[in-house]
Amino acid sequence: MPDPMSQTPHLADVLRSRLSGDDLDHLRRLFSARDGAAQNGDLWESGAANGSMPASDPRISGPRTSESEYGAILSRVLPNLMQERRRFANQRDDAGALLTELLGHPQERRIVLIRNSQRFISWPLCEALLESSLDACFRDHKEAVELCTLAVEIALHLADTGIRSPLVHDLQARSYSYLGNALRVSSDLDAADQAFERASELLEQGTGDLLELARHLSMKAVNCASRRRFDESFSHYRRATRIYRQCGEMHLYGRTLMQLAIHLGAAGETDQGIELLRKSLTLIDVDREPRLAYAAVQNLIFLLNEAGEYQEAYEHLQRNRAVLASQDDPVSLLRLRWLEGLVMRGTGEEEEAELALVEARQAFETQGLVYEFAMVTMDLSMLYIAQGRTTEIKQLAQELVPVTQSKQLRDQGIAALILFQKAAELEKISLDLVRQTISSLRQLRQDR
Amino acid sequence: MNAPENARSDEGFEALLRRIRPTLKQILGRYQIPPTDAEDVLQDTFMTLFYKWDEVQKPEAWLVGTLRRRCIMYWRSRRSRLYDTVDETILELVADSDQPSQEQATLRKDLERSVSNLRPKCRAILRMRYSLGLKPAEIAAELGYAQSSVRKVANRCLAALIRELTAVGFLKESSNA
Repeated sequence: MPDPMSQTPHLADVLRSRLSGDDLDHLRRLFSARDGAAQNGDLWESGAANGSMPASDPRISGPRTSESEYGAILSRVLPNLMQERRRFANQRDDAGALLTELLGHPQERRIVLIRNSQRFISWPLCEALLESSLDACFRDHKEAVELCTLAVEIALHLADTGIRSPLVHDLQARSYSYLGNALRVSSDLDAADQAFERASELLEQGTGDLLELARHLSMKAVNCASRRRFDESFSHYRRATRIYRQCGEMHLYGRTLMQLAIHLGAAGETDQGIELLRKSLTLIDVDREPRLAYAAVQNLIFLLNEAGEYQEAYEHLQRNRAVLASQDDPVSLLRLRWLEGLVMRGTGEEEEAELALVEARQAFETQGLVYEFAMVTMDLSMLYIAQGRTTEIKQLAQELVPVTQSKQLRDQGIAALILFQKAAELEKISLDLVRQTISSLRQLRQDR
Repeated sequence: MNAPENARSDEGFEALLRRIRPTLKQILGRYQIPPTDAEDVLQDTFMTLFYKWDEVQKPEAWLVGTLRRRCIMYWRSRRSRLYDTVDETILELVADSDQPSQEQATLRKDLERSVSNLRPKCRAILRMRYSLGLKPAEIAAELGYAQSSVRKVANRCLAALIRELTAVGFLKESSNA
């Protein structure tokens, strides 16, 4: 049998002669490994997945650098870092004033200012814009997208300021993730996907900051759930939760578990959702983010009720009513009243349930909260169907007319409500139809 | 003791570094980051901690996890650059020309022989790249890959090609090396 090495093709020889010694050494390390990662070009991937370190891998054998050499490097790095740290602390002080100044202009002018004035190319200003965008997501979707667009613009310009490029890539990635989130809330789902894709690419060139990665994964998970890509969503959530746990960030771990639980509930995995919500409640730091803790309790009660565990839902409600009622946000209090109505309907206290649902419904209407108004109307109609109160159901259907004419719900939700109205008119309403309408409306909410 | 509060001062930060120094050295040693690049890797990691200070609750756990991931990314990036170099070199060697020289014809024949041993997917990708000179984005469009994943797939195929070439002596040590 001929020795293949004696017939080395010309290509192999020429290619070898063109590559540097370093490159060839590196290739030898990669391709002399017995098997495994290098076979598919995934050096270190297996170690990365479970957080373990590579043991004495042949791919990194050769002249080894001792730990004492690394110690010397650590000693050299430290003094420069302290200087940079103080410089950044000063920048942070100016961010509030810059934010106010920038937002005092129309959006087009803001962009011009960022492009033309170095003052606005500031890391803390970029972060402040991103934080503001999160609030804007609940208030004004267009504003949220605008704020994130400004943050992206600043982050792109930060590349010219001398800040180390992996750090800048991290902030650029974060800006694109927030932009993706704002676009998702604005229902521009294709653009949201693209923004998240860009964020993922930038993170690959970033510092490796695990918390940045976990934040990105959590936001991406919500986006995937909005597009009904639940498997992908849950995979991102689980990776994010592993990172938070590994970094000892138990509050954020609990926060992400809660988000995962809500989406599991939406995907019909109610029992798993309940289990995770219980766990999240043991992890969330109430002092750090009271609203999150309230949301976790309310979601737990809601899922218990959905699962038919009415008594337990009722007990949780009783136990936490005082705390939940102490929220200073009027809309949260209305949601609590709505939840009370649902739980009491479940436990058979129909009069109290009706009272709570009617109260919540009226208040949502007054506040112009169209989605909530439509949803409580459905819950109330379920109660009336069970009681055979056809006239009241027709009345509820009639009162939905302004909702179907408003532009606040998307076509899919309006179509479901119109179907409900027609069925009510014809006295052909059923519990199944109401459940389908609720399901269509909930889908809209998860898309937000 | 609240770690971030304690470490907020320079003294606190230095104390944190003293505590964690052996672990950091150990991580760099295990991943064998070349000394010329280890300084960059460390600076990136510490600067990140400064910039994101307000969010990091447990700096020690964060530093260990992030430095480890940074080392993984370092090698991933080096590998990616290496593949780019090999890819560009092959492209230069077999670049299309109206009248290929005898040398170029031989190189193309060798390349085709190695490529023909690969899986159909890799054959298609590498022929598009080296015979037709298509860019990754064009290959993605032709074969229906997402732009984001074509690079990964192409690198896997290039790795398969390098293995083919390695089997016939590409990576042998030269006698005067």
